[in-house]
Amino acid sequence: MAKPIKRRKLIIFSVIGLVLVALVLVAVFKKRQPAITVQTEKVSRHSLTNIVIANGKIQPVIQVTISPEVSGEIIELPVKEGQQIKKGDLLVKINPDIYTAALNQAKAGYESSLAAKASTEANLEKAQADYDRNLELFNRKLLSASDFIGFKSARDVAKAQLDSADDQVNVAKALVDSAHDSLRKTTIVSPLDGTISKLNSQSGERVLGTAQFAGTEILVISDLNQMEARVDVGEMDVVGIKPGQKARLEVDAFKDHKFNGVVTDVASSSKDSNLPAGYSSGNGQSQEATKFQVRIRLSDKEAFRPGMSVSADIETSYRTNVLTVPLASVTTRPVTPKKLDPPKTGGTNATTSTNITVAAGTNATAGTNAATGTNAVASASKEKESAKPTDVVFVVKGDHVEAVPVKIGICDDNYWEITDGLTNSEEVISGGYRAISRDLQDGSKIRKGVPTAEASKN
Amino acid sequence: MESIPPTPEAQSIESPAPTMSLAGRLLNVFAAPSDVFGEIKAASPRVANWLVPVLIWVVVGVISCFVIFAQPSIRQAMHEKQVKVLDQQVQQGKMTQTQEDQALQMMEKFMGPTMLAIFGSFAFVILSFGSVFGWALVLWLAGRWLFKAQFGYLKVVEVAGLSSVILTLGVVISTLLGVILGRLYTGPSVALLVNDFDPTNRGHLLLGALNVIYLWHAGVLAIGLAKLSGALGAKAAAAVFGFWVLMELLLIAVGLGQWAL
Repeated sequence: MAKPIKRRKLIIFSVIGLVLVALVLVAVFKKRQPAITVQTEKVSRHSLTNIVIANGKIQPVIQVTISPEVSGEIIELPVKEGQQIKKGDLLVKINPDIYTAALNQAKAGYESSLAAKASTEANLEKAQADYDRNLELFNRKLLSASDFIGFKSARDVAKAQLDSADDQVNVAKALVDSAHDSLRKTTIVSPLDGTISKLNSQSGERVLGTAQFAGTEILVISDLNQMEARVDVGEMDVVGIKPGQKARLEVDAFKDHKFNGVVTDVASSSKDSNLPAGYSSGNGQSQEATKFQVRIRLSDKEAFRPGMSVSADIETSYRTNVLTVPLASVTTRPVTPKKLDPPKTGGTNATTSTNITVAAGTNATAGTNAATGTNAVASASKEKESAKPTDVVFVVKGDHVEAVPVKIGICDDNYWEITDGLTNSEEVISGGYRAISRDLQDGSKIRKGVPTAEASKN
Repeated sequence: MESIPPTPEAQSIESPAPTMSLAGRLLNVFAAPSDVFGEIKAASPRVANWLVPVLIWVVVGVISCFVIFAQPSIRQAMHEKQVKVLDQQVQQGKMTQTQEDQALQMMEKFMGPTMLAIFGSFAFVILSFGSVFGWALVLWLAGRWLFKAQFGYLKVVEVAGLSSVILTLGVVISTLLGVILGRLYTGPSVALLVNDFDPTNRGHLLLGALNVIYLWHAGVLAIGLAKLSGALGAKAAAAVFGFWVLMELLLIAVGLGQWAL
């Protein structure tokens, strides 16, 4: 009885022992690395359009602000906002009384100057006759030289007075013209066909002419047949924008409708360039980023109104059938100079890079071989310091990833163009957000999983 | 009044001296549980018979907690699960994104491996003692009511305590499997065949409950019950396995299936 029990014990403990030893061995020799749940996508070819997004307002291409040149009370304002008008239509009439009086006064002055001139001419004729008669007497020695000089002077004075009278007539005439012009300017007519897009004044209001200060802006006439979007573009993006580029515009007022446009003008200076240098709003830093105004002519006709909000997608560049990865795949990681060199080479530039790689690699190896103890630590810390944040994508290598430095080109809403670093057949990590932005490192273990809410929301 | 277990002092007066040492009993539970429980039935109750195996179980369990929660893969899996739950709450509008980020920051700050191991160890200690006394109560009630047998409660505590060495072995195996597979809820069960084990999936939990160690433990308990009550082994096994199956199903049904693993 004891023998079978002993045998049973031996078998049971042997099995338990074997199982435990096997499990321990597997546990000890197995790499204990956490698998990060990710989503992947194949590197693929797409046609990309690089888009600069900018916001602004719809404005007419031609827009004229009407301000009076003369001051006074508006006695007639036969237009209202939104009204369509033709060139030459009466817009505003300012009370002309004071200007009429001024004209009359100028005319009277003119008449007076003419009369004065006639009187001066008569004086000259008399002085000339006296001079001629006394010249003959003087030549016969019948008149003393001093008396003759008196007649000569009288004639010269009369001549000068006539010249002065002529000038007075001219001055008076100019005053008449000026008064006439001022009177004419009390009536303002439309300089173009268009629509009253803004009406600031009312009949009876006193307005200030542009002769004094800025004058009053009575109304704005716009040609609503030709509209443009004036959008603000940041200084980083404006360098890529040129006249002639296409744009797709979304006007808030016309939902679910996109309009076509063409860039017509890019501002040469920023919107705040007229501010004094070092301008700030109190905290030492400018509150707004530097913006440049870009004008986009709208090709489509619609009932646009000046001031409508618009968002423009300006197509600054286009690439056909290029290698792409999802936007989320590209991130930055500190990469040492050795790692920075592209793994895939081609062309002259790539060869040059490879040469640099070899040189750097050799130096690094020599340094490592030579360094011991403190030197080795210093070398490692130096390498860490020299690591620069670089654009990388994580390429799937079995159940691990490799951080591959890449050169990126343009992007659209979904993809980055990869100009160097990847091939068409590779599979890259495309999610989740936390894994790519923080958790994944070169060599990290991964597990392919379904997209989570965290991944999808990013 | 008859159901009150007799005191150990009263029984120890006439009981014969044990032929097996404590260590021998602990080892023989694996190979010859019938002999061990036969001796337990004949001998006077000894606290060491249940306390020592339970303490061994507790010590192994605490070590297991520290080993398991030191595994980056397990912590990563737990973190992903927590993120998933929080994401769902954000999607359902029960929580804002900011609150989720704050919650995750707090978890990262306070739910380190040491803290997790301490919490896990604390839970394990309670579970160990609770399990031994709970099984003892089940066996004692079954003996009294089903098999009309008269034996003391401490006798079944000894049986349940000595049987816990099976569970101790289970903890060791589960820990090693956890380290190998990088999974928190694992053991020598049918659930090993499931690639992506989901502890919230009732089907997976059922497979996880079909654990060799638990079946072995239940079998040993059944032998103990049969020895103490003098009932047929099949009847005792039916009682113990029946209760075990009911408990597992109940836990899984009410959403506490992870405790059944």
